[in-house]
Amino acid sequence: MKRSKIFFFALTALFFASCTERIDLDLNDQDGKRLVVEGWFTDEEKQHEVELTWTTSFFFNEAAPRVEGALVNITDGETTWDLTESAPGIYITPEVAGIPSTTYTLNIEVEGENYTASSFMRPVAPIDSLHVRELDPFEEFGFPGDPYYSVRIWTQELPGTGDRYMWLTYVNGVSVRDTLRDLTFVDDELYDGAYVEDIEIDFLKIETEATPGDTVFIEQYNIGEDAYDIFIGIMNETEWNGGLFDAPPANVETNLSNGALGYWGAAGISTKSTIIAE
Amino acid sequence: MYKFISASLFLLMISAFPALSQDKVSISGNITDAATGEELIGATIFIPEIDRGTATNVYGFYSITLPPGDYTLKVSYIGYKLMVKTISLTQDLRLDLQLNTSGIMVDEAVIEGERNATKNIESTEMSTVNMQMDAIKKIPAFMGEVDIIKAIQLLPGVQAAGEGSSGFYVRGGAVDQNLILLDESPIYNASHLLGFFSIFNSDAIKDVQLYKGGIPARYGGRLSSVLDIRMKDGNNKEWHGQGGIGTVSSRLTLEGPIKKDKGSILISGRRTYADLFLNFSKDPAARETQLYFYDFNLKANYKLGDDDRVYLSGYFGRDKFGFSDVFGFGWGNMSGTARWNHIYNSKLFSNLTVTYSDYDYYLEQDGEDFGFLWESEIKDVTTKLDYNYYISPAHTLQFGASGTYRTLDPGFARGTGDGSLLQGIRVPINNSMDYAVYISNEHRITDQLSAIYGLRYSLFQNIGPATVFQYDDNFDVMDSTVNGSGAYNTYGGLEPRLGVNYKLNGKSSVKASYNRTYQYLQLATNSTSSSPLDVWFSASPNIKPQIADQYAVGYFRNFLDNTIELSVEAYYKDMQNTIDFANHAQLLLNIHLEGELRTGKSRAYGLEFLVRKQTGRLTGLASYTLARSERNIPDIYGEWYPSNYDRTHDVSVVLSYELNKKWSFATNYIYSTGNAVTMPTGRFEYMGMVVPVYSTRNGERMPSYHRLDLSATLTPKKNAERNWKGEWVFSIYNAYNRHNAYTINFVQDQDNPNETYAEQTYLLPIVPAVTYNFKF
Repeated sequence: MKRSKIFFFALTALFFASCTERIDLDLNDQDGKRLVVEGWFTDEEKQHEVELTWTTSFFFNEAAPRVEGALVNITDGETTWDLTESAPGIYITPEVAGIPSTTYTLNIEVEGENYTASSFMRPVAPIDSLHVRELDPFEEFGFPGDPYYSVRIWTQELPGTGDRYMWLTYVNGVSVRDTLRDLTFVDDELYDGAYVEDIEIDFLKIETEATPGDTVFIEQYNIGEDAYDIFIGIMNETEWNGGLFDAPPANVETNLSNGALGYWGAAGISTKSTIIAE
Repeated sequence: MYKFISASLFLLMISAFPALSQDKVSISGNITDAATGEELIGATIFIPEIDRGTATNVYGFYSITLPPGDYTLKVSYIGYKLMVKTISLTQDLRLDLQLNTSGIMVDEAVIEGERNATKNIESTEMSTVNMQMDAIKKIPAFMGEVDIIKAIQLLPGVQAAGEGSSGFYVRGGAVDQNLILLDESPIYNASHLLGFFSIFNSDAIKDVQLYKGGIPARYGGRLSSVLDIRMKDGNNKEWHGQGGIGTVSSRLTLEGPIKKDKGSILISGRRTYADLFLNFSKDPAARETQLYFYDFNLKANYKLGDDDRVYLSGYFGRDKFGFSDVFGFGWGNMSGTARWNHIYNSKLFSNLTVTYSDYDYYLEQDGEDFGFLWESEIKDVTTKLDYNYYISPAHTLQFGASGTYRTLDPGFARGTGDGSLLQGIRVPINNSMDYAVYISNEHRITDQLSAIYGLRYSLFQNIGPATVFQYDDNFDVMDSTVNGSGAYNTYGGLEPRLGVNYKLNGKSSVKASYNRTYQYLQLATNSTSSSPLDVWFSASPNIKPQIADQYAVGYFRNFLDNTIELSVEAYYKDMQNTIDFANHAQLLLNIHLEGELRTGKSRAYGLEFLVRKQTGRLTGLASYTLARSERNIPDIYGEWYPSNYDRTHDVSVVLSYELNKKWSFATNYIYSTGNAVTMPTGRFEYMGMVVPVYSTRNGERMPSYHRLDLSATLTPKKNAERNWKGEWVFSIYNAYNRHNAYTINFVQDQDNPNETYAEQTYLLPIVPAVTYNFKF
């Protein structure tokens, strides 16, 4: 029902000849800080990162403070990998690859408290083809808009519902999808088990984000239902709110224990790269 | 426990009947306006010889039983001259009375003489307010549009849902807990333009009565209040009209006799051109917006004889909001009522009503691929039979029965474009039947003590064919049952109603009341304020009816020869099976809507003060409410949390002053604590997003709401002689331009991702308006 959200957004924006103004507000800031965890563990052989920060008061207006000196490890029940702090708040594993269809658990000990999260690594099919082509929305669909680079893939959606996908795009090795609001994430309810052919999963602005000759590399993650629901929750509490038809605010879910926030997930990943034709 | 109460009430009522055998005679009849023939609702007749009185019912009928003898009748009604009549009573007497309006007596001293102690002291009804249309018209109105719903929001215990919203809250109850009746037809959405205006054209309305508690047995179906609105019948002596041309809308009403003194007809119409003021908006999108509403009221009545009268009323209104031709959204109410009053004898009056009510709304978007139309509708047909039996001076019995067949069509969406990708989705239609029987007795036990006690029994049935889903502990759909036609689920219950009035002296009294009410229909509203797209849904095997028990006590006192009324009331309301929605619930087009519901309990309590002066040059009211409304829904939040609309303080002051025959002025001041909201108490970062952290649900408050409205009315002198009377009304809404927050959002700065700030949206700045009203 994302469609209806966008629609109602439009309705709200148009409805009132009303005014919006910035105000100073005194908020009751909570006492105590909580741990925030962000990280993915995939089946790619590399050093996987876990980023730890603290919560702050609402109008803190600076980058979140990093958690230093935590003890972090990841285990599959038999083997345990200890993470080392490579930069303040960033903890990395040794070079290791996860195995799909395994449950992994993250353990953190910081300031005398223990936190844990588990995630089941869902497998993902390889991306058979990746193609980037220029697309003019007016010619193609009849919608007004500037031409852009359409990033399109061919892949098999694995049968069995419960798959949720996220795509991260890199241009010339640099991530252009750092922020959740810019990402594409979908569920498989409508496409379960289908062969996905020539579907656009991202778009790049011509000139500003990519130019001919650039290498475009994409990662396809199967993030699973929990992560997907949490992403929707985050979008509800940030970008998508402010409308006439909003639900009352509610805390975003997490898979971390002991009052920690954020999400740590294990995901199957497949990648592909291509070069934009001249 | 309830069986015991009902048995006792029944025994008490039986005690009324021995009174029948004594040698008494009755006076009965109708009390009407001498100039127009309009029946007066709640006019009082006081007989000093027996120190008792009675009042007319909603059809203007009264009856009083006395031993034969000589009596003085003092007949009074607000805005009319006191009538004193002596009669010699030897047998049943049919006496119809006509009262004359008192007019604007500005040059003469205000002669009230011995005004009857008002209902404030005498009546067993408490927690009830009657608002006169004359008083409502004096209140400074938004855009000069007189609005009944806004007027009742000035009363203690009644709170506005806010600008841009269609609902109101009574004693801590939700917006769907108010039964709004227009000539006995239920109205599901009483607003035009999302609550800026109500659907009631004040020129067509005669009487407004709001029951906040102590709800009489003849009403049921909603927990918190009954707003009983009666249309005028129409002048049955000569043709007249009235209307107005305003900044936002214009209206015209014509009324006149079908046959002089026997029947009359009234037609009203109203239309806005609200789109016009949007043309001046700074916002280019607003300029392409269509925004209008129109409504019609029709009323006709005819006296078939001395004892029979038939009435026909109808209302039809629609709202439309659209943007260019790209999308539109509209809704409307349609209602029709047919009634027959029959007077059996001097003591027994009956009314038979058949009414039809239809509320629908739609949402549409044009477009070849993505065009769609979404419609929703709720219809009901009700038959009601009510009797008033004026057995003796000490007992008045009311009893009756009703049945309603209701169809809820929560949503049918389909693609409309040629290349439409959207198939139809239909949330199944829900049919139900509602029955009720009631009996109640108003018993004057001693000169000081009177009581009204009654019992209502209500029954609800879901009618198939229908599919009912079962849900597991995680609220996921587990299974479904398909039911054929016929009733497949029944709920019912006894609703005792009790009120007691103890008169301390001629000027003051103490009252207490208790009522239990059931509600079988609720409104799914997800947002922090209601909107016309909210969905009504009924009780079902998965949803139990809501039940409320309300207790109230009050002290009532009149001052200065009954010209100033004071009331102080305290109430406590306990509600079961309260419904709320799961976090991030999906309400639109959801076949499994019941899976989004979470149930629990709620309660509300408060203290209300009201001072009113209804006569003289200076009239008005002042009200203050101190209240709390909270709920406890375990699956949403582990403790009691304030309802969204919990407002600690609510103050209203309305004053109207007639300076002379030419000028009168009025002002309104409103102050209320802001709504309870959930605001962030912290934040964290995740994948570049700044995400808020909330602690207690509804633990914070919006900024308080307050504003001042002013109006001045100019009646040119030459009017007195002419048939055409006009007046100019100048009004200023929100005179000191307070930006009352409608919503507050927290925005992440796009340029500075670490920075978040708060933003408020407000709807109405200072709004001046001019209206020209006329009568002929």
